[in-house]
Amino acid sequence: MGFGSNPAMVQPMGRAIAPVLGQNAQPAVLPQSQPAQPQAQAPQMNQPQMMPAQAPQVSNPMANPFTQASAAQQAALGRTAMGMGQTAAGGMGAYQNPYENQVVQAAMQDVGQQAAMGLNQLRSNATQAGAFGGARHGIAEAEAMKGYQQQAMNTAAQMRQQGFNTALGASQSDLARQLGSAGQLAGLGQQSFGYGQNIQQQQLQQGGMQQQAMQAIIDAAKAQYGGYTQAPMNKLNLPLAALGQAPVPQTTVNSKQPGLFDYLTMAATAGAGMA
Amino acid sequence: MSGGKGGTTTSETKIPQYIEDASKSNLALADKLSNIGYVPYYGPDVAAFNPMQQAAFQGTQQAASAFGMPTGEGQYMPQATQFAGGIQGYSSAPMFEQAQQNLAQYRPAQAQYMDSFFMNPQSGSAGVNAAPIGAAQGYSPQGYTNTSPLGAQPIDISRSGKG
Repeated sequence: MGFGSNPAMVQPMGRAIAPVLGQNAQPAVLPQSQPAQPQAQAPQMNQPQMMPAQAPQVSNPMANPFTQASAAQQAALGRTAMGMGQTAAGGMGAYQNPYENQVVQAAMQDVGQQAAMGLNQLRSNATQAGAFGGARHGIAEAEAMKGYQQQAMNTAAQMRQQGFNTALGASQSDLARQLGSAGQLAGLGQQSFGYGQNIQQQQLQQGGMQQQAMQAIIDAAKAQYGGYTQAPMNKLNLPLAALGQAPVPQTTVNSKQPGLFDYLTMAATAGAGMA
Repeated sequence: MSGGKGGTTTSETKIPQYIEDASKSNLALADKLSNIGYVPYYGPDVAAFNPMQQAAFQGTQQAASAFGMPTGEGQYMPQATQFAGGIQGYSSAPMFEQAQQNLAQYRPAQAQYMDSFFMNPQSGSAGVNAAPIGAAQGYSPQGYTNTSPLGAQPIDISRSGKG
């Protein structure tokens, strides 16, 4: 006995849950990853192969956890809100025995037959006692009829009371089960939302790793290019580096230009030598 | 050094001739190299977002859409360029070219004066204020031949973004 057992309760949840449950029979199929095709020739930069903003392949949109979460949340909200002002009385009709009247009538007939049999016996006894038609017979028959009528009313009341209680209990339990299901649906929606978030985190993390790898390649290429463009400057620095590492031999030349005293001294020295 | 009636004493330190020659050669080389000017980089600078990251972005938009929230639909990031080796990324070269074009448009004298100190990057002719010793006038540019095994082609400046 599902939501359909209580027509007053089924429609809003049925409509809201349909996207989640109704079309989700097929198993979710993950997008098939395309094998990396080696590029025979990289396109030119001036003919850029633009990275298209393609929508990710989703083979089963109904398996989207966020769609599931939203549908479940809306269904749970709707059902819970409906249940706030709802009583079990609205759903009792579905649980009442449609043959209750026939059953009660059959029980009444049984009581009536018993009453008839009892009256016949009472009249037979009165006849044998010679009291049939007397005042005592009348009183006895009236008391017997009163008892049978009371029994019939008690029987009918008990049967209808039992039917009412059964329908009330069933409707109450059904209402409680549906509200419980709504709560469970909300929990499942939250779970689906968590799945989606986890998958997104994985995608971001792994995508980030790939992007870091690409960035590393780019940085390496830039470094090589920087080395290439810096090569002329390195050529200029190489002789300077060589000179800086090797000791430069230096030659110091001392020369003297003689002055007047030098000539006088030289002449005096020469004169003394001659003397 | 001292002078006067007592005469003059001179002390001179000489460096070897080969070092002197090397220094002069290096100065001449520096003059030549100074004519090169700025050498821009036309390769990628930043790696583009990959499909897995884009899928995550799309997932966020789908989550927002599923709950009736604004999705920020539309792609903010510009389209990436595919470079050699399948690398997809963004290059600052078009913006550099654009800035250079704008400078030449709005401050032509300043731009031309700066350019006059270096060789013409297209023709190879020396700027009027290029180093005199550099003899860049004698430089004959050779036609570019792509020999890269990756098939990389030089960027076509005429097709790069300007504005």
